[in-house]
Amino acid sequence: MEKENRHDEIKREHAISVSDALKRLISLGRPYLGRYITLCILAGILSVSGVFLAESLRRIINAAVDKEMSGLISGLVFALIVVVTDALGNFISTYLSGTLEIRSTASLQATILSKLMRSKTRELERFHSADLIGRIQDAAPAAQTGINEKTIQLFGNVLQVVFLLSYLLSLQYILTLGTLLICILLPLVMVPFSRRLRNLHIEREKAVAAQQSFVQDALQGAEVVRAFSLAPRLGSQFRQRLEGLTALHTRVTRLEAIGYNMPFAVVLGGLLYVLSFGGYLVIQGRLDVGAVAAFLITFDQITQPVSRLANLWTELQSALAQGSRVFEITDMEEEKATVRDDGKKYGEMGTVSFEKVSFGYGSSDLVLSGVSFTIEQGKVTAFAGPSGSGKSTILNLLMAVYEPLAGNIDCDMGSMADIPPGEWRSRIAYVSQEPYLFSGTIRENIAWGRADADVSAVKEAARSAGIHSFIEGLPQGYETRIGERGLTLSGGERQRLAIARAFVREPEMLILDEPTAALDSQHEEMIQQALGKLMQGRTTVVVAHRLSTIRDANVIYYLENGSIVEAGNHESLMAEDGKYRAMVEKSVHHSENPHELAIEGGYL
Amino acid sequence: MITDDKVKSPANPSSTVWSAFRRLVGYAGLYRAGFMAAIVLLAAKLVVDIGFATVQKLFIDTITSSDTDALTRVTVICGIACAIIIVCLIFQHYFRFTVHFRMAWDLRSRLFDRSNRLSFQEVQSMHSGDLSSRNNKDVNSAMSMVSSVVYELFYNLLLTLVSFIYLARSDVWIALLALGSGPVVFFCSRFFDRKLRNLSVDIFAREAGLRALLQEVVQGMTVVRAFGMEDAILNRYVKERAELGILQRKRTVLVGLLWQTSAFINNVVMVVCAGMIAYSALGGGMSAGGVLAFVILIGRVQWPFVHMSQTWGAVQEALGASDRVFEILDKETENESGGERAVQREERQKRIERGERQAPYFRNASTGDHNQPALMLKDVHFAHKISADDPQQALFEGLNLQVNAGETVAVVGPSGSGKSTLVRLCCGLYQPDQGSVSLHGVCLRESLDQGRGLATYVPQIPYLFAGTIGDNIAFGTEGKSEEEIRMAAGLAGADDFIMKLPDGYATHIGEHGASLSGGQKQRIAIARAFLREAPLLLLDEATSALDNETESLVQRSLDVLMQKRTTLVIAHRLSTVLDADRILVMEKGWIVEEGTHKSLLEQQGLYAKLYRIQFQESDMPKEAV
Repeated sequence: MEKENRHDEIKREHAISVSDALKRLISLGRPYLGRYITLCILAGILSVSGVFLAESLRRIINAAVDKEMSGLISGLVFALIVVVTDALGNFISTYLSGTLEIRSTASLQATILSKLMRSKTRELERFHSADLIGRIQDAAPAAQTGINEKTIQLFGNVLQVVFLLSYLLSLQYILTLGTLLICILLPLVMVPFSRRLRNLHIEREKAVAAQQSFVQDALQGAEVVRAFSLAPRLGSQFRQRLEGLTALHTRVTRLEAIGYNMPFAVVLGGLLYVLSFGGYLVIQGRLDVGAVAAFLITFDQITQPVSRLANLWTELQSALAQGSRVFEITDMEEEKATVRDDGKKYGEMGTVSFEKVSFGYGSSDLVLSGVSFTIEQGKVTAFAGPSGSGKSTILNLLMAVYEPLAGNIDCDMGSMADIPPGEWRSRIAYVSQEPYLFSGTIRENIAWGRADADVSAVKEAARSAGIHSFIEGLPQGYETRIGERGLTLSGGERQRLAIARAFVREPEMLILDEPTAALDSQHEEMIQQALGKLMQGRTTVVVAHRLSTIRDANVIYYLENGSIVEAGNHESLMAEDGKYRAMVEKSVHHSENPHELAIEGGYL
Repeated sequence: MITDDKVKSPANPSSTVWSAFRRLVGYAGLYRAGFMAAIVLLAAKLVVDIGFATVQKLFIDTITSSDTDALTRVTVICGIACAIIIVCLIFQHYFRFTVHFRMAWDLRSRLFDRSNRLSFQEVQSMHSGDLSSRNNKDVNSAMSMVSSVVYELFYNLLLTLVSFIYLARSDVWIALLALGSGPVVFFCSRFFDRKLRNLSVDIFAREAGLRALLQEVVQGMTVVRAFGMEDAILNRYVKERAELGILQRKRTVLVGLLWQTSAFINNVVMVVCAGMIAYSALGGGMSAGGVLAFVILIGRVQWPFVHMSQTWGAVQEALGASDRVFEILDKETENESGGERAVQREERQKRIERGERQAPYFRNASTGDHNQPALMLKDVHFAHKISADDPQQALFEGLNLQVNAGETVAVVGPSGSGKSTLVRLCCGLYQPDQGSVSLHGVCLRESLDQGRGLATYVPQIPYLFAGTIGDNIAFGTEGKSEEEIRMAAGLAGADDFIMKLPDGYATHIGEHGASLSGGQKQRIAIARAFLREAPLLLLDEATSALDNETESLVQRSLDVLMQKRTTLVIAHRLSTVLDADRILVMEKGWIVEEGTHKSLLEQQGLYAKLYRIQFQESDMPKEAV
């Protein structure tokens, strides 16, 4: 597939502004408003308990200073009640926020995945698969947790600060106002840094995504990595990339080192202020010592919410960066919904015709330039031509994986542009040259073809694909687990599973992309028979280089540079003395051995 | 799609916090200065936490003495001290996180190296999504243990100690009371340890499983769409994610209990102490400032225990992650046989101690002994091992094969006869269970890297890496110039199409070479083989569809490649078989026939049968051979 210009496109990322990202990040929290409010109320109660603990300690100390036994006891009882309430409240709050995080994250992740599967292929191709995975598994939780935590922190801490401050105000207002001023002013130091910090976060996340893509590539290429002893080279590349990441990380850390210590500076500054100015007030006789002590303890309590508030914006930068990564996916253009608006059912697919269809990948040249042809119902249509001539592209268009840039694809159901891709695809089955299987049992892999396929349907399909006896011969039969992408099976076995998967689907149209390429001769015969059975009464579209596969097609289209140059059946094309014939003859004569048919093959 | 048996309890439950910590902290060796600086600068925090009470006492006593000048003086001094402390803390944060980051990356880079060196069979039995999850996620979680232990546990222990001494100077009994209650807090919470750790291993494994599921879905998007699997996959994801959610909720409850229990016990002790001090103050003899300092100091002795208790919970979770990381690091690599291993690890440890950053892995491929047969398999036994509890039937039971230098040997046979396994054995991707494989006298079991340097393996489906075309060709060789790369590409018939691309050799190809056609990918893989210049060529002929023109281009390149080289080729094309010096016919793990095309046809055996099937169903012009 020609998409040379992918890389230019990758550059057109960050289109999301801060305020936009923030707004959307907040909107992620909206469904959980009820939970937030509960948690905030809890936080409010807990903040009161902080005040009460301070008050009880003040009473205890004052009782000690005043030498009053009853005050001491009541203070102690009071303190114990506060402590119990505090522990209970905190536990409930932890539990609620924990479950909130789990639920909201899971739902966001599912939303992204479903979005991903509905997005246009063209959009998805801009990203490495590891990057997309990272956005679901890492970025989504980071963004969601970020907004959950920050919202609750914001409300909870503001409440707490208000409570504690009003308590302090009741003790001494000038002292309190000064404290307030310090609490507000110092964190502002970080504001100018926040933009730089966010940009650094975005850059770092990108670098991390690139790194993960690199790791995944290497791990999946395990065979080549070993056969070519690539480990040292990959290792050194890994470390090289690390250098770049380290530089970024160092810059982030430098800013954060200052940012995260600002709240602490607030605390120290505040304490100093309380002690010195409060002390001055005591000397002046405007305050008692017990009040300074209570002030100190309350101030100790107030530091936590204040430092969290102060850090809020700084910490939010990372959530914002992660959020933008998530929103980039949720912004992707979607395919049409699966359900038709008027609820009517579609009829048969019938004959499919391409009218002046043009297509190109990315921003590169056109792969198909205005091709027109028909695929007749119940007939076999074959496409031949050199590589890069656009054969596979036609199959991709037929599977509605891409949409034509210009022109129209029509069938008895109407124009393809109006038909939901899901509806269209429910009528086709696809067998590719390199079968793609999923980890899981053999039964599951065949049953992927149709949602409601039962065991007998699966077995029937396997029998038709000529793999039933092989499966039965396995120790666990149909419940045998196959590894990642079916790599524990041989090429022929994989392909026959893929064909069984197509069988079980009972499609109207069969799309075959060189389906017998990986099979040996014995199996190929079997498969050809099976495919013949499958093709009966179905429309078949096949791309092939094997003469045996295309020779019997009703119509053969010969493609070159994205245009159809010849059309007809095998005999008429051979009689025409054109490119098709040249291809057939060239393949027969290009080596000393006129027949390239090999032990396992059947190549032209 | 994701197996349930992946979710299992710790592979190596015997690894303790201490042993895991020691291994992890070993990675600090290279950044000792920064690490030490981060620890030393912690003193600033200690000064704050301890000095706090002193300063308060100082202030309150100054206040009660009503000396305004003294108050100003104390304020100024403390202000300067605070500024210094803040600066120290900024540096502490900086060093701590930079060193942590580097340590995590060193661990990650080791893990990456190790995963690339695991035996191929081992890797095949794992999902690559699981492996990358260990690399991406678990490393960070594991490394967090070092921070937890060093900065939290160690610091809090220190804090307790200093506070205790300070407190004991005033009143030994109350100090002892405060200190004695601390361990109660700590040990009450240990009840949760084992559960937390097991839970976290399960959670990490589940997360890896989800990543693997996503990886297959994203990479197989075309199939997902063509078969309308979207809803089924979403359901599966939601289901598995919900199972993870249940585990996470359990963890939340456990952590919540752990934290609140310790905080509660602590608060109770603090109130009781305050009451006792106040009670003793009733009898006189203690100033108001003294009582206040006491209350705060008791908190200082107490809180560290609470923190330690909570941190310990985090350490248990990190232990779950480190179990998963070390599981890979402890697996044998391809090159290691049992005995060598311990020695190698010792060496590695020494290297780390010496502060060497990177081990010299790459050994120049030596030429081997040319008088020895190019390829020799002696009594090879081999069985695929998919998993430990599911041993597959033996494939080879005493396979012998000798290929002499310069020979071209074609291998044919029905699928499942062991052709691919044979080739993989020849380049050491698989090691025989019994018997030996040697290339030019170099035994693959003894010196894998050297042996491998003598062979070039061209797999059926070319695997390309996301990167430039030039890099992809040069992979597997060291220090090749651009001219040499172009030359190799030219020989492989790839130069023309590469030069037509907008950026030529610097063109970025997508994931798995997505922007190239099948034939182009194949030619790049062949160019790679040309550049490698190894004497033995192991070729799995491509069966995937190439059009005739491309096919003949590829074939011509391969013919050139095979010249002057010893070749073992899994043949799918008749011309390859006809050109071969010798043909091996394989069936069910045995070489059942051997000879030239002609002699094999005369034998009227399997070869003749395979040949006939092919030709009877074909109308291709028959020609006497």
